[in-house]
Amino acid sequence: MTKPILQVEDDANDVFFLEHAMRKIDLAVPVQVANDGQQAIDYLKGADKFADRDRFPLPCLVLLDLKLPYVMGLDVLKWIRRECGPSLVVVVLTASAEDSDIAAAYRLGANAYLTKPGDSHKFEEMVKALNDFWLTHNTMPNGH
Amino acid sequence: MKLNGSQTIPREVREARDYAQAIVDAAPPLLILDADLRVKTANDSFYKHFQVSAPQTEDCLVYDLGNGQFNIPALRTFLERILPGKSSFNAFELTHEFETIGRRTLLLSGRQVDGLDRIILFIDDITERVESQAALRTSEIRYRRLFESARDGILIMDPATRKITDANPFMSELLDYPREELRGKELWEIGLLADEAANREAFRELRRDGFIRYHNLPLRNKAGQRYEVEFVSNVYDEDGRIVIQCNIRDNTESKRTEDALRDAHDQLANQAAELERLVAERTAQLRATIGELEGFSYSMSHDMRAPLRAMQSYSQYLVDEYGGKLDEQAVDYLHRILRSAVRLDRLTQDVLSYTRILHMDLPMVRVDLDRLVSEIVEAFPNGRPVKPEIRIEGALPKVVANEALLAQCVANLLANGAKFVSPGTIPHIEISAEPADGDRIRVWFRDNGIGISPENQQRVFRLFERIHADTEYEGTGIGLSIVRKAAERMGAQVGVESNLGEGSKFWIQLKKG
Repeated sequence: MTKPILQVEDDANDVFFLEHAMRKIDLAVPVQVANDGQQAIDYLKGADKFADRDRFPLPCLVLLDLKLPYVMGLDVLKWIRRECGPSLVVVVLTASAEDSDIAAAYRLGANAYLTKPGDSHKFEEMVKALNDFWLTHNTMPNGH
Repeated sequence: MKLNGSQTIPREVREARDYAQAIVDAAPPLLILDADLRVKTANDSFYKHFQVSAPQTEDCLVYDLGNGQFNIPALRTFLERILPGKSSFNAFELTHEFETIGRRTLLLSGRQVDGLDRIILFIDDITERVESQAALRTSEIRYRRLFESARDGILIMDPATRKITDANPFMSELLDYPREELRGKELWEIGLLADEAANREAFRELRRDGFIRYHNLPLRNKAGQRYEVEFVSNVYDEDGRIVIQCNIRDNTESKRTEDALRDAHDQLANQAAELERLVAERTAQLRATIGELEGFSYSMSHDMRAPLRAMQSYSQYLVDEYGGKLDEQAVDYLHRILRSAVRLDRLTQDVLSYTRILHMDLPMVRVDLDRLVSEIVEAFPNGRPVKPEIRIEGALPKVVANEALLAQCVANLLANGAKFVSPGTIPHIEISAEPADGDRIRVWFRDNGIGISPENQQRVFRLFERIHADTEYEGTGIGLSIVRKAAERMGAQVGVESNLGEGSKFWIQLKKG
């Protein structure tokens, strides 16, 4: 079974843009969405409604927004690195281009940091590159 | 002077003569005169002392000797009036100004030598003695004056009896004792020391160390009044006679001053601490405010830009996916939405960086005002009920500015001109530029609005100041204050010329690019 991308995103538009972009570039990787930080953690833990690993398999990549309800993105990142180790690819995808956010994300172990572009064509290129690099060419250490 | 000598003189006589010679040489200045007062001889000390030579002296009338230096009326009186009546006279004092040795005081003693018809005149120069006595007298007077007038209490005591022998007036004033009563008393009797034992101990200390000193000695006078005094006692040797002098200084006043000073100092320290606490409190408040502002900026960058991104993306989808089904006008609208979203996104970002860099150096660059204003004007309508007519007069020059801030200024000035028109009026805005003082450019924004009365012309630039009710013209009251702040930060000036009902002419003056 193909591992999904876990998109941690509270904005429905951004969820739609990813779906739209993947459709445009014919990318067939499944996408699971967590609408806030706590859901992301629950998903990765397999807690509660995410207990069924057939329906909610562990992801190959986490696309992480930073400004999230309940648990902020950087705290999710911290949790992932503590609980899942370095084997899970975490790519930050956020509106913020603040130096402090970028620095904190890398310090906490993000694999990449991308700012959401306004231009949908640029976003499609970005998603394609994500797939090519992280899901096709890149190799991660063995984890769980 | 040599006594006449001869080899034939018998030994005894010679010895007596040598003996006499020695005495004469060692004696103070003396002259031997004959009955006519002519100098027969003078001894060496006379010559030395009065700085005259033997030829100037011997066989001269005494008054003529040494160029008449001894022509002294008092000497005449002595030799001619006093001495003839007696065989001898001692200690006749005279003072005379000598040519060679100055003013001297002499003590004359004369003796008639019977049978020889000679007068021996002893001249004792007592000038120094007289002067030192005078100095001593002066010193004594001065000491007395000090003693009598000092604002320190002074006691003189006899160490043998430990009794007071003298006290100055201030001392008796301080202790409220008549001076006479103080004499003969011991220190403890007048309340300066606790009791006789303390008195004995103090004198032991004084003998051992030569002095005693007590700071802030509590003292109660006869009337019961309390003092704080400094007590210093020293032992002095007065020509072999030992005396004790005690100085008592009234410290009450200085102690009071010292206490007041300490109180003031403490008070000041308290105030300083209070001030410090206040500063810390205010600083914490300020930090909290800054923290809130930072949180606000963070939300802006994340949340406010998301809808813009959505506008941009969905317009793009429409153009991409449905472009074929839309006519040219519709596609143009979509492009306008796109551009506006992009502009607003940039504006949002610029405001963010503007708030962030309010206290930093802004990058100032050469800005093509013509392009900048055209772009803003082109995108201006932005859903306003009445589309303003904006005209740019001629080509606008290049200026030195921060592009984001200048764009904000222009946009705000245009929005201002478009908004404040009387109902039903189509706003007209004319933009023009002209050279101003030095290397400056003044950019004018003329509108046909409602105008601003002179008394309100400065108010419009103040933060949140509004001239009109919200029902007439809606707004936040920030627009023009942003213009002024932005101009300030760019080293530019803003202003307005207006009259009620005659429209306004806003201007911004920038450095030529």
